[in-house]
Amino acid sequence: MSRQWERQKTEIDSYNTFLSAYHSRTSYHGFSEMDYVVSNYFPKLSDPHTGADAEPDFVLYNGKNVILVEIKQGNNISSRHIKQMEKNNDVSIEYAEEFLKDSQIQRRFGLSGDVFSVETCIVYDGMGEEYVEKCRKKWPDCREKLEEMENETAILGQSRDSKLRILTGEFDSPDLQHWLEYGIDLPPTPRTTISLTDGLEMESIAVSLCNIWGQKAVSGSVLVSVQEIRSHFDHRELKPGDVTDAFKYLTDVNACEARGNRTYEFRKEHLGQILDIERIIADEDDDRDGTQRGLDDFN
Amino acid sequence: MDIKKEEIEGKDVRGVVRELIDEVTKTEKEAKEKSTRGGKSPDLKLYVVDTSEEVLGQLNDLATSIIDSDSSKKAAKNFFNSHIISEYKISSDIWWVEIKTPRYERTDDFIFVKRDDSIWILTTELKDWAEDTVENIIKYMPQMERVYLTSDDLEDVMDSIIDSEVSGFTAKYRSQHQERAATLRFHGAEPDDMKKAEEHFQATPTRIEFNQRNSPSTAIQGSGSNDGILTVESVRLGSEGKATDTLLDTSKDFILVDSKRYEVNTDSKVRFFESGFSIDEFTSIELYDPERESAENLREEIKSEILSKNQYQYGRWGENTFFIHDKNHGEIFELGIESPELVLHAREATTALSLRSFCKSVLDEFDSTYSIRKKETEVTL
Repeated sequence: MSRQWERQKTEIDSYNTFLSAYHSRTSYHGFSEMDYVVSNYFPKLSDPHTGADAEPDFVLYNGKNVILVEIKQGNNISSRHIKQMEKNNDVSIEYAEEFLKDSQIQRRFGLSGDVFSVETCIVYDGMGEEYVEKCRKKWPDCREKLEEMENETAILGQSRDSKLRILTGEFDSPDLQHWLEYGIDLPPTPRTTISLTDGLEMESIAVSLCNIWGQKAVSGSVLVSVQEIRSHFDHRELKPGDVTDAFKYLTDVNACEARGNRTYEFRKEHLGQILDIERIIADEDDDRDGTQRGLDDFN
Repeated sequence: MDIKKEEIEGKDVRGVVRELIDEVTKTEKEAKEKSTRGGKSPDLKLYVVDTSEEVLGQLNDLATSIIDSDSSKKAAKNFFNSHIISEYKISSDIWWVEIKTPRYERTDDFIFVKRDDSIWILTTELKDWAEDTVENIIKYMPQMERVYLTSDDLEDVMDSIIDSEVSGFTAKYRSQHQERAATLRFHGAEPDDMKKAEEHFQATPTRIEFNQRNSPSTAIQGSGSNDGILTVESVRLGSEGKATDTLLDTSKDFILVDSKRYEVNTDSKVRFFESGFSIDEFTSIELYDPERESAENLREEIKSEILSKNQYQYGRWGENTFFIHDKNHGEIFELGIESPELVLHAREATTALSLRSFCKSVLDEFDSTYSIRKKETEVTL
């Protein structure tokens, strides 16, 4: 394993921080309180009407508006981000309705599936007002990108134990704009809801296997095959080689056992490793890097 | 108990409670002779127990499987090996349970009553014997867990008893910040005494005694405690109906308050769809507003004082999140350290059993000055 995990975990943490604004434990006006549901995680929207191939991180919906949300780490607005938002903006209302219908929106949430507007936004985990100010005033290259992005979509900033809110750019809906200018308070430890990265890296597959399937071993042994995992995540095109590698890694660290025919078993005696998989991978990450581990890790 | 199982046959829950109330009912003369509380005269106890599955009529099977299982605690095996449980069905919801302790040639009697997802256990056996028998059954069977009310909730529930006044209480104080623990016991308390105890000692009630009046004289003496026991110590002749209602209503309140705090009503299953996967609902319980304002080593304190118990196995996610396996209840939940506060998140198969148990450990053994609240995101259909 290469020193990959730290970056992946930062990405995963930023998804979970955003999702804590949905659960809204530390705020009275998070997405759930404003009647939004997160209808899809990491979907693919291929709009035949416009030819758009959008891959936002989350889709939010409240019975009227659809919001396509893109999450990024750090401050750097890149040309790639701008292109991604262009694609998200190309999703038509007609297609959004078809998409929600396919997502069984009525059965799951009792929402109509009617769409009046498709909104988009990009959320930078770690970007603040001060940075936007500096970018605009001090760094011409940065300003150019910022202005391009502002034309495309609303730009939000978020960080744990602080707020999710609009920094610049606009939503079409004044309500949405007004509400997110005020912002949503975020907790210091968001629930670990997601553990798979957008790029489906092997390490993140390994921790997801532990968090979703491994933890089920509390109530008895869990047998699962590479094929089953792939079909569960079929919309995300997991490569069989990556899933097999992830299982091999988990077998090596004694978090599961190979049972032949690309099938693996999680049992109760593996739970110690299953629960601690993030630390195990993080420690290995550090070892690869040859850096001195913090004293805290020896506790 | 004085009554025999034949005497409650054909009776409904109210009838059974009424029958037991008679055992603690006293004439004016008897009541006068008994000038102080407590002593060796039997009181009527009602345990309010949350259950995860059917246990009525199955106690013997469950006990046998604990004896046979390699993973059972030694104390649990010893208990079930040295006690004999006999169950007799009175009706579909009421069972008569005898627990024999051969070593002392004793039999203690209990009545188990099913109320929705909870069970009431009624008895007039002495507290010492109930502790040695039925309380151990509850303790050692992972399917059962006594409800647990925080001090605030206990006060609210006891306040709602009509025509009653506080006549005594036990209050406990345990704060990490002060590094000491104290217990206050008050009998014959004045209405303001409990408030003073809270103000001056930050000690919060864990058991509240009350007197209920009919005209000027005391009709009923009883108490409620935060770990799910209600007792009626004495009832004056003529007030049996009132005592029955008080006990039934208060135990119902116990369940309501408890489930408001710990019950996981949401469904946090990971679902897979063609267009993406999802987790639609969340339940979190916050332990908030402790006496101390900062807790720099909270993570290490929780690790050494709570998570080091045999009951738990855990792993860490990042710096301040733990995945915790409650081995007694076979459940996993997530804990966030938000110093000085704590937050529990239900995961896929988490129920009130493991969440309640963790909160109880924190309040009883770590810091009694936390308050508890639940936050849920439910998807409305």
